[in-house]
Amino acid sequence: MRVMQRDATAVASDAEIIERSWLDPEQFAVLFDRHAPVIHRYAARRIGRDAADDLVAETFLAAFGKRLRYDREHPDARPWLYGIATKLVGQHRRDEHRQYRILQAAIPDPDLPGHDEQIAADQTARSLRHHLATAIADLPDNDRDVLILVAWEQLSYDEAARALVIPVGTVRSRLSRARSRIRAALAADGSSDTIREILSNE
Amino acid sequence: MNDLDLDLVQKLIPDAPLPRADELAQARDRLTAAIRTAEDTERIVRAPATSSSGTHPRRRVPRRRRIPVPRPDRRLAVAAVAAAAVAAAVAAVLIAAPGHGGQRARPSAAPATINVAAATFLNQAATALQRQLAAPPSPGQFVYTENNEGDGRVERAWLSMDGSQPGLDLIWQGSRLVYDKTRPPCTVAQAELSAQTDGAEGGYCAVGGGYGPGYFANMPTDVGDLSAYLTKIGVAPTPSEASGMGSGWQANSLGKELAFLMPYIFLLPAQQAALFQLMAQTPGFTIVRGVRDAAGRTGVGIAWTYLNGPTQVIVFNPATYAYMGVTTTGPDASDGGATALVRMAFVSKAGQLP
Repeated sequence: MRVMQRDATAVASDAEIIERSWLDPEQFAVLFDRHAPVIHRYAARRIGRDAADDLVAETFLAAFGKRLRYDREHPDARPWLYGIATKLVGQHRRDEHRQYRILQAAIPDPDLPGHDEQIAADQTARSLRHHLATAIADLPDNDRDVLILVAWEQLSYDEAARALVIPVGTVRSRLSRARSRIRAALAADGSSDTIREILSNE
Repeated sequence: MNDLDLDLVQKLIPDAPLPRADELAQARDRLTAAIRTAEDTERIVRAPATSSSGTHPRRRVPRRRRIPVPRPDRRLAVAAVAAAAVAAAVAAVLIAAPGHGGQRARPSAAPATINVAAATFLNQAATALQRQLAAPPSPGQFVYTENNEGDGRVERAWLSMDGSQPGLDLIWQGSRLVYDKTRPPCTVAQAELSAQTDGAEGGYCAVGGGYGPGYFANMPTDVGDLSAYLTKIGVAPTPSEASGMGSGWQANSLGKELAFLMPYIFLLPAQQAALFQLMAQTPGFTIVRGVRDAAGRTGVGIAWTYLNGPTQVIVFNPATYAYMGVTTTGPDASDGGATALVRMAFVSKAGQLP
């Protein structure tokens, strides 16, 4: 019987798991085990690894509190969880800015030993990362949310719309605006050609 | 449209590895504790289940008895009636005075309340501050702040008093400059427009965290107007954004926004008094005496813990009530970070030391 229950849980959709948790709250832990790793990675990218632990816990606690309002029409709960996590990132803005600062501050140490070519390549990569992190940090919060969900987390436009509870058209316009600003910032820094070259060599 | 820029975003930011199970254990424990509490609560209030599958929760969740709340014990509100509020103790907003009945819950899921000691301190501080006077920065000046980040880093920031001129944010690790960023101008009017239009108009303009003006001349000194103002300039969630954030979100939201704002801005005593009154009226804050900030100084802390997370503390000078810093206490203190404001002054240009 226990084996059968485990099998049933293994194949059940997120929506079914959430539905079961209405009457059997312990079922909600299955959702944590399925999706906490990717939500944690998302949080770590945005606000740093230390603060991510806190945000993941807050995300699943908030989700648990809202589970009765989950729309069963959507079998995959990841966009819902991303949406809750994104909303909570707004409560960790200090950590998010700190994270971008860390990325921006990745200035090579000239005292480190190494081959000249390797040092030059590292410097170029770090410089590009600096410019990109700066451009992302300078985006409006809502545009940055969309860009990161689509670019880093690979959500579709529909999924991003569901996560952020906005129309798909708004996702498109925010993403377009974010990309324009990223391009403009990188062009102003003279980084575009170098970045294009690096990507074409991968 | 090609996807070059999306490729850049994907490839140039370092990828973060998926965490190991043991790294998620603490978060899982917090969820498990909430689940147990919900089970206990539901066991008390749930009527026998009758339905089994397939429909929207609004139609199939069993009917539940209303939690009895003696009328004299109600203090602020009983919200989120019926199934959702009862089933999820962590999300229920049942606010009652401590020790006066209402739904008993484990401490981990207890509804946020107004803490009398914290409110008393904050109200006393507000009264004292209302008697103080201080001169704001003059037009054209910059608010200079120096914050010790507690990890060997020192941040020096210059914010144009009205946000009309570019600001500057520098961070030193010892004698080495590791961060050097010019901030775009961002006035209060631009911040309001940016907040109202989701950043579509007004350009990038966010306040707090070393961005925006160094002084908010129009920040209300009347507590009744303050919440709306903070939402208007984009430093507090709108009611719809705040929905479903769980018990204690008010203190968490206000505390984190203030922790993001106060290290960098000058507040008139009357403005700070209004902020203190707002904190006094916000459920979820407690008081911690004798807490040390990141610079090792001792002060009075106004603390909050959100959904069993680490306890975060804004530290104030016990004599002057000036903001001192932000720190984290408890077993997860290392996760929270800390910062201490060690100097604030007005200077005539960005980059100038007082």
